Amino acid sequence: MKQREWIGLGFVTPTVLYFIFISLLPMLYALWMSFHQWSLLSADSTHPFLLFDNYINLLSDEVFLRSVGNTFLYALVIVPVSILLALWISVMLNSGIKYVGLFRTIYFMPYITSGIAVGFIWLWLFEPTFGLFNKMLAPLGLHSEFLFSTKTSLLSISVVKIWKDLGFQILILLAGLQSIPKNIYEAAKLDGIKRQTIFWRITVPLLYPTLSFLLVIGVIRAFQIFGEVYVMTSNGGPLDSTRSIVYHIQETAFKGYEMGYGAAMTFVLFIIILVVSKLQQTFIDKRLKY
Amino acid sequence: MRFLLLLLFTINSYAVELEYWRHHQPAEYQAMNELIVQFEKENPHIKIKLVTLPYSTLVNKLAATLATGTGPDLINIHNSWAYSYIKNDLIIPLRNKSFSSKQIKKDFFPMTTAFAKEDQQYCIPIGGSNLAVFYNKKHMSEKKDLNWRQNSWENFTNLAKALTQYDKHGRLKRSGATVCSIEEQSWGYLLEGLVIQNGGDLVKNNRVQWNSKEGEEALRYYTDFCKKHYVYSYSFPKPSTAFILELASTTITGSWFIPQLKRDAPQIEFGTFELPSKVKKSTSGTLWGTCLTKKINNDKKKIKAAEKFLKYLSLYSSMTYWSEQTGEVPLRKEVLEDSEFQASHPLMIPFIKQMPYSVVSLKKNENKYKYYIQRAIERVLLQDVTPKEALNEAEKGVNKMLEEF
Repeated sequence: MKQREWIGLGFVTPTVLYFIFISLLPMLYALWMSFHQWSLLSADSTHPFLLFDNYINLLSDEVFLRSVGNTFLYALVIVPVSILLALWISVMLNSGIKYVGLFRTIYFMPYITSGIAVGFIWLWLFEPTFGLFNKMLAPLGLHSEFLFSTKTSLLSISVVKIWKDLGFQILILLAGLQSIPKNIYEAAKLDGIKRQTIFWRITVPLLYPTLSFLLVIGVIRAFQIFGEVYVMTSNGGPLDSTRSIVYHIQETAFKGYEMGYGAAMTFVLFIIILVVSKLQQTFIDKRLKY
Repeated sequence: MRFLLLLLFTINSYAVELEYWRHHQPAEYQAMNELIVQFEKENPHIKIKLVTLPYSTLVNKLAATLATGTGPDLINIHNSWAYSYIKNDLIIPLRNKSFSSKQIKKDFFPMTTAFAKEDQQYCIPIGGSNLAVFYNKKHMSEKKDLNWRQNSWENFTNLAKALTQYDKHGRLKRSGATVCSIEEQSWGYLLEGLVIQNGGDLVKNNRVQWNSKEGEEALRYYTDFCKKHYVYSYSFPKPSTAFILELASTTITGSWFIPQLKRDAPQIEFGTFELPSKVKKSTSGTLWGTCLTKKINNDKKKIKAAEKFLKYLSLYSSMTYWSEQTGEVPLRKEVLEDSEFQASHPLMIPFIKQMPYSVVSLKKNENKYKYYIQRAIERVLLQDVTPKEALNEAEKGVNKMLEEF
């Protein structure tokens, strides 16, 4: 090898080693665990081999299936709403208004705030009897149970997740918007094209790479929703209406000590994310050929 | 040579160091530290290294280390963990005569045997608690004509109704009793309190017994506080918070709430009374115990030192000191006769009186058990399912768990 290649290898090695020991090996170990009856408390080191029993049991585990359904619902609510909202705000911020930096900071603040702190604050805002939101709804004769009703609990958690991650999406979209050459807009204006048409025919198509990135990342993050459910609900309730897959994995593996069964759930989640991301990629790749 | 021998002797006599893991709770940490200082003064050859960890960290770290034979020498575990720890040989039985089954039954309240298997004691608690009623004296003084001290189910409902206040829209403004919650100690009150008070059984021959007529009545009584009487609601602040904010006039919880209230809400004047009862008296008990891990199973010297420490913790004087600092009740029966202690701790009296009949039932996997009971309560409250149907659903889940474990 040339000296240049050795130097390159030297730069890459720490990251590769980190990936192997911190991600890859534990992942393979978890995969191996998922084929075994593995209790964290068990002093029996034999861990009976079950082949696919853990995976088969998941198919009849009502609570797990409910958590899978909920997780898809989270993704369906959070991803489109947050991307549309972020697109709207970032286009406004990019339209030449004053203090863009200040607004960007304000929108970005929730993203860097501790999820636990955010959860507790929203918990009190949503509080049905004394919370701010119901106080605001009262003059309109409205009242909601928010986190305490099976009808509104998942939506309430989704609102918090959207609010918290919005700053990140705005930041990425602003960068995308600012990278669109200004002369394209100037040419369109000279041709007398309406603002709406400019947005749909120029801005959105040129933002496709950014939007596709946000879509993929957004779906992955929505599938991994945990902190908000953990802090703001009582065991993913009421009646499992907010229980996500990751919350259920945490409860199974670290509260129930069923590591093998929990590992099987993790791999099901991994496969779900892999398939959904692949489908998105296939769809987006077609759209990107403009 | 003499010097070397003396040195060897000295090293040997100071050689026993025991690592002791507990979950972190500021008042308990201070009290335990003080007890350790006193113990080490009396036993200079034994050193106790106290390590406290946040609850969730302790739970996982203990499980991960003990199964591999590493970790601490002494641990403090909750009664609900005892079944798994004993079954998986993570803790070892106590050998000292003072901890024989006969002696434990003679000196300690019955709930101490939650840490025993087949007459073999595994852990020794320094304190414990059960559930009683806390009431706000100011709210109670508004209703002087109430005959609430009779303590029957019916009287408690009437008391709760009389103390409840609503706003102009008819919504709950102040709860009379925080019953029908799924939070905190609620499921313990329902099972080990109400079901047994109503003459029902919990578990027999590894099968659930509470899906009975007595169980149904207990669940109906419990959920009626929300559904029928509307003295509390599913979405109202959780019991302890509501009481601290003076949004609830009574709440049911353990004696540990006494120091917490004095610290967090010094403005509230409060009292305590025994749980209302029906056919018989019963309340839910809870306790933590210190146990020897399997790591020291072959180390006679460490076992001897550890058992000496447990003996020290189980002295009545250690228990009363612990009680004063943490709000837990001494677990030695002596406290029933100790009029001096009772006179100086009047708020503890109901808890002390309830100790002989406090129930700590075997739950095997508490997490799953609690899940199904909470679900039964929610099914009745939110989906109008009958108590019978809700308990039958819960029974399937809990029986499956009991079989698996």
